[in-house]
Amino acid sequence: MPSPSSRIYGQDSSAAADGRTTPPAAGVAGTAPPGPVHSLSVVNNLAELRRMSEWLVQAARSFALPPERISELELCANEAVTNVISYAYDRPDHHTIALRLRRAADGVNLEIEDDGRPFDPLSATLPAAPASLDDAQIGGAGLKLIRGMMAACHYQRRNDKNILTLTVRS
Amino acid sequence: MNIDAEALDGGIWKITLSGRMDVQGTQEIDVKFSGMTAGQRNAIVVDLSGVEFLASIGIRSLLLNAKAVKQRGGKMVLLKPDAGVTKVLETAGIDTLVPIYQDLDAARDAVTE
Repeated sequence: MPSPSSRIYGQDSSAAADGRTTPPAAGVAGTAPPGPVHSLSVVNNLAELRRMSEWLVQAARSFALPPERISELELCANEAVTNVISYAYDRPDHHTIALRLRRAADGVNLEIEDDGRPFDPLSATLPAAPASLDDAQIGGAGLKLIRGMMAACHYQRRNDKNILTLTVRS
Repeated sequence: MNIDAEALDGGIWKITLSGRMDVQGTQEIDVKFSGMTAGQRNAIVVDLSGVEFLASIGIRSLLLNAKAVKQRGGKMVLLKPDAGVTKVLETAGIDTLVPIYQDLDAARDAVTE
């Protein structure tokens, strides 16, 4: 399997950079519904988060999502990518995280793909709700937000990559 | 992000946060914020009305400061987060640990009771 993201985008001939809706070419493999795919690559540096947010908000607007759904998706993308950058890599050398936003049957899907160590944010154990401020653990809110705010989430490990799909309803 | 503090009557310290409380924004105010809650004042109202985005790193900062204030025998509450930020606080379960108020009078009463 050739390296990261570009080849995977390349398979999707409907991925129009200007966001036009073009039908996929006949015989294109995959199950994604037709429509534009907006894609972005970021490197494993937290300074990339703002650029990612700007891209995501703009791309999500082109799918006519309500502003609240866009904010929630933006938040969950921030949480997921922050976790990848902060915890996924054994060595802090250069890594690329690929994001793809596309229309799904019941809303919009954001795929986040990284080549870090296997980690399923959907089955990781969350700390129990604390009884008081004194008992409250610091941290762990990111996973709670992802699971609590998205209409659906899906995780898979494929070709040595983590692929997290976040779904918002339009 | 921006952070400001103002002394109100009754020994209340109002801290106003504004901007994007994401990784970058929280890093910009974190040290100042802990400095402001670490002083003598134990009745603290944190005005969130100007916060347009709140991520878990920002929640962490709010929680750390609220804990520090409580450990000194004080109280910190949150004031007027917008609808989106309120939903984030509720989803993370923070609203039950650090109370949210919609008006300043109620917030003042809560920290001075």
